[in-house]
Amino acid sequence: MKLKQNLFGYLALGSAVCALVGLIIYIVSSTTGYMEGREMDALPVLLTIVAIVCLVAAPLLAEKLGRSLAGALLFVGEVLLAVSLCMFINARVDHFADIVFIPVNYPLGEKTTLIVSIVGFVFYILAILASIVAAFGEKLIKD
Amino acid sequence: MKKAIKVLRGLSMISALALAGSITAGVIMEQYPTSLDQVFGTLSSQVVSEETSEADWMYQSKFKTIQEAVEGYKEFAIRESQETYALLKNQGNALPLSKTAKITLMGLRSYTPVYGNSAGSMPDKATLEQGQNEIFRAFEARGFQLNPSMLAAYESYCSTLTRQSGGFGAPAPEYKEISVTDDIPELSLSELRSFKSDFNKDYAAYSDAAIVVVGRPGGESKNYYPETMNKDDKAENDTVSGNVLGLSVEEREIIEEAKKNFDKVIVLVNSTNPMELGELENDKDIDAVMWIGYPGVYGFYGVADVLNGTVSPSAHLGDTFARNTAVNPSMVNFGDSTTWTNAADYKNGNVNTYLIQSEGIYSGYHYYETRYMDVVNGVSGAATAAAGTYTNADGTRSTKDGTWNYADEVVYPFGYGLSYTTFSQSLDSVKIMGDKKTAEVTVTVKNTGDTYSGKSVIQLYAQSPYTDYDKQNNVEKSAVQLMDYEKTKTLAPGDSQTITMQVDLSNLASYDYTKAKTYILDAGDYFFAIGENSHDALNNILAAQGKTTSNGMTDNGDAAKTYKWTWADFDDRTFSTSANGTAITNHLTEGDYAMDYNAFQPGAITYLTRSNWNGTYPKAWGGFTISGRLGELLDCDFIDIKTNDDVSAFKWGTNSGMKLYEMKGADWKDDRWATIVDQVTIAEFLNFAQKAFHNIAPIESVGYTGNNADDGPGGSDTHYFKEGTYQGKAYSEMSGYDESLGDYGTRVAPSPTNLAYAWNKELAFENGEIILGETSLILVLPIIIGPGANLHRHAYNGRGGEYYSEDPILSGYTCSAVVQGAQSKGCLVNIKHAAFNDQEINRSGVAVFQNEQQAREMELKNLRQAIEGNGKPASFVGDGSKDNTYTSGALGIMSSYNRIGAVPPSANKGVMVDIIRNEWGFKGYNVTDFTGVSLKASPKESILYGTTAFCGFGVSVDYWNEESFAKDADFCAAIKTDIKYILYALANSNAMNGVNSTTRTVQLMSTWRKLYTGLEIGFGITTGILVVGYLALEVLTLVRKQKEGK
Repeated sequence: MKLKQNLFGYLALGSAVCALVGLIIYIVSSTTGYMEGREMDALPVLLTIVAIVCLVAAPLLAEKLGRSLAGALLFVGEVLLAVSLCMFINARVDHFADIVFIPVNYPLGEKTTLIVSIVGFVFYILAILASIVAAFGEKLIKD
Repeated sequence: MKKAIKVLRGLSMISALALAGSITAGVIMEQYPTSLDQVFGTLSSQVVSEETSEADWMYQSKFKTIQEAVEGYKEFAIRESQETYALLKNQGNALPLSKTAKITLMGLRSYTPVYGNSAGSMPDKATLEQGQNEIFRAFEARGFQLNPSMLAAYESYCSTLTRQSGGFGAPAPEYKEISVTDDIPELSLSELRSFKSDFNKDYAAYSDAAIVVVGRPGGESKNYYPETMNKDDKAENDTVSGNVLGLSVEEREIIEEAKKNFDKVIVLVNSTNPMELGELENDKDIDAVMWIGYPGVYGFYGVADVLNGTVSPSAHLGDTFARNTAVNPSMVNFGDSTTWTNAADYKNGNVNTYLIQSEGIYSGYHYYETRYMDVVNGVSGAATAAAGTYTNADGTRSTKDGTWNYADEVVYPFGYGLSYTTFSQSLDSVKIMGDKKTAEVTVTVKNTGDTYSGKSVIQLYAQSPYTDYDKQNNVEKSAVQLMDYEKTKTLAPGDSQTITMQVDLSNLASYDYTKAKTYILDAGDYFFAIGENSHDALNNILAAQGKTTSNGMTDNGDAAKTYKWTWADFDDRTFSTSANGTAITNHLTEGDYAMDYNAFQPGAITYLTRSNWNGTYPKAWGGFTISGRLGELLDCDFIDIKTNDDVSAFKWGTNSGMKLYEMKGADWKDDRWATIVDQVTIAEFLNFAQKAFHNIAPIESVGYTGNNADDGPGGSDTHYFKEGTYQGKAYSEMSGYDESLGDYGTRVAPSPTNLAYAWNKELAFENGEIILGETSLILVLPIIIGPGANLHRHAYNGRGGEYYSEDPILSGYTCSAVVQGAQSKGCLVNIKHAAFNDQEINRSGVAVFQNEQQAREMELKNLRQAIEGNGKPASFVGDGSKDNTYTSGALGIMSSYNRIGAVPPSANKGVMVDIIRNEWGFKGYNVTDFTGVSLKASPKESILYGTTAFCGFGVSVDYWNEESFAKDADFCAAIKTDIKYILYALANSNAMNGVNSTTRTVQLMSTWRKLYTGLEIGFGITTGILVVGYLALEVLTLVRKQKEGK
């Protein structure tokens, strides 16, 4: 099969992949290690999944959706990722504060969770940046 | 058009990202307003009252302007410091020096001494540096002339070092590279030469004395370990004992240089961890030794005042200074060596190590003096010691079985301290009251010297009989224990003063956890003795018992300084109830809250007994495995919340309209409490409880607007005089405000250990009044987290300088006096830590185990004095101006990081409820130490057992909501009481100062608020414009296409 996506289309797909990795990290860091047994906020999961769907649909269905709709999906996907990232960061601020403010009391597991989470942040940021660059493309598929 | 669309689309997404980030930043910042204010020096809220009257200001500061405050703190700090330096040796009256003496300061610490703790109660940097109060300036200000070449050499070295930068709190005025505990930073002579080749050129010109300063840093989270020196890699750090608290090769080199070049050599000991000073005591070429601890930012004026005789030294050691600090029973179970074998199986992240303190009551002088007595009496095999359990004469640890010898173990006993003058003390009379609860003891002190005035300390010790009953039932007895103390006023030569002490005999009773399960008084002979120190007092008792140096005593005692009485009958009733009438029985010996490890593993632990010193000397209790109930408790989640109790009797959120300020000064029994407590909801309590990081959250239903709070025992860590106020008016708004003083802080006094070594209750009261109380008023910090009052179980707690002493009475009465002084100004103290924190190593998570006798007679006896408000100075009795003092105890505590037994300290019902709340009548505020509402604090168990707040960030347990607790009657009742504790403590503090019906909290636009608000508005507008533009162009394009299509 000949792929129809151009560079911007691949960036959109890459954004979806990074978002997926970030999501997995969010889920793992929220349910294992220091956070094991605690309730995970499901909203970022939901928003990220919808974002991934948008970011995959935009390049793969660009021909059917048309330029405007595909572009709108990129926009929606990015916004949802941005909101998810912000919620992810907000959920980890306590750990950051614990470790920075009184750096002698936290268990090692908390630091591990924070470090893993920061890796997750990075993937979300990469996903967002990729989607922004993709949005500057006129279209997502080759002529 | 297409180009414009893609550009607008991309820019919209960037702007949307920035907007999301700004909103998130705002949300996060608003969760931590007080923390941000502390870091950035901003003010984000202010409590304002439209109008106030004098009556609204229950508590008055004595400092109306910034100048008065700074000067007042300085005056007090210098005056306090003068009484805290202990003269240990003064050969040939080497001291005092002439006021204009030309002296050479030697040793790295002579240029850059340890002014105070490196974290927790750090000395104020601005006051020291901007105020130019460093050691050399203070000495010169007092008239000493200092060798400039030596100063220049050390200055040159220090210019290569890095000044400590701020961590949380405030930066300590010290150099990072030398504020270490695993090294002994000192310069050898060759290193000195490399910084200044002619450093020694002015010896002759400044030869009145060489003053060598040796020191060790300390502070929160600092750890000292024994036997870490004498390794191959750093020979310059070698000490005689191999301990970091001994003198290193380099330090000895400097001392030798001093001895070689000066006729008079004085050594100042700049450390709050007891150092090994045997070499100095024995060296005839060292003329004087003075312990200065951590003098604080103004304290070297006081050091100079003592060195030059303006003031006679009057401090006494509050710890035993051993020849080898690592060779004693407490040190066998110390540090991080005892890890649970299966700690990793426990998921809450805070299960790591345990510490089984099987020395019992035998720590510090309780060990050394008791074993000495048994050696003199030739009993219990006291003189026989296994290899490693006694000290050789040269200070090294023994390597073969041998003989325990007091003179080899102790260099300076507890209570030791000299003066420039001499005193006589006579035990005039003793009256033991018929109810056995108090004794009236009268002592006359006379200055028998010719030249110098001075203050003298009366140290009253007691001995209770060690009987067959005790031996059969594991009741241990110290040969001597401090019962009370008083300090005279300054006595001129020939003057005398008579002091009568009302001695609390509940401190004499012993705790029998095996048979009677309460406090007992054995039948037999009891002794009171006064003495110059614990050893001297014991020798006096031994003399009264017919012993002399022929029996192996180190010196003959003076029986005239003792008083003997006999109680014919065994008594397990008099002290079987507490002062408030609560029955006292075992709470820490069996069950979930046991501190005795034998409760979890019967027969596992043998405690040290004086009936068999050598056979029961502690061993390192390693290799324990968690199982069964122990594991459930260690997992921090051991009480279930019920969901279907009848809770109809509990009312929440009622609308009675009462305000907290109406309860100012209200008694605990005031009928109105029930009404106002019912106004608070469970949700409101939980919200309050979770926000206690240097903060007192608002409780809107009772009109409480919230306040800031701060650490610590030495004054406010993060607020400065520029924020100072007097009765609601800012110093900075007053005419004549001196802006140059704005950065000065309140952390100016010597260390808490220094204060204890003054043995002066009145001085401690004044310390509490000013350092905590005035600070609380001036900076509007109703809660200051202090004083620190854990016992010095050994010499190796790196944070020991923030606590007082090894002895429960010296520590307890000092703490009590500080609390009374602080509370006289309305400061809501949080005494820390409750309880049993004696090392920084693994302080979070370490499970501390000890038998109930040790728990009650050492650490808890110490804390009880402050919580019950005991230890009133003799001079306050009959002084009308002091009638309102010591009428109630402390109103706040902070629990420790370490577990008490298996459970988090705040969840230990035995200590927190049965003993502290019930037996001692504590009715105040109880906060955890930086746990947040997290599993490691067992939050639900903690609130069930009287915890009112959690210091830290965030909530990470899923039951922290009203729905979880609302159907459990026990939790409902506990939360009701916790709410009353909070409101009662606040109503009886200066949180209500200036508060009336017009008081409200005004939110201010601090810099960080302006920042995120500006970003939100900016990016909001930008995003809006871009999105509208993008959509408009898309619509336009669509419309055009449709038109073209037609």
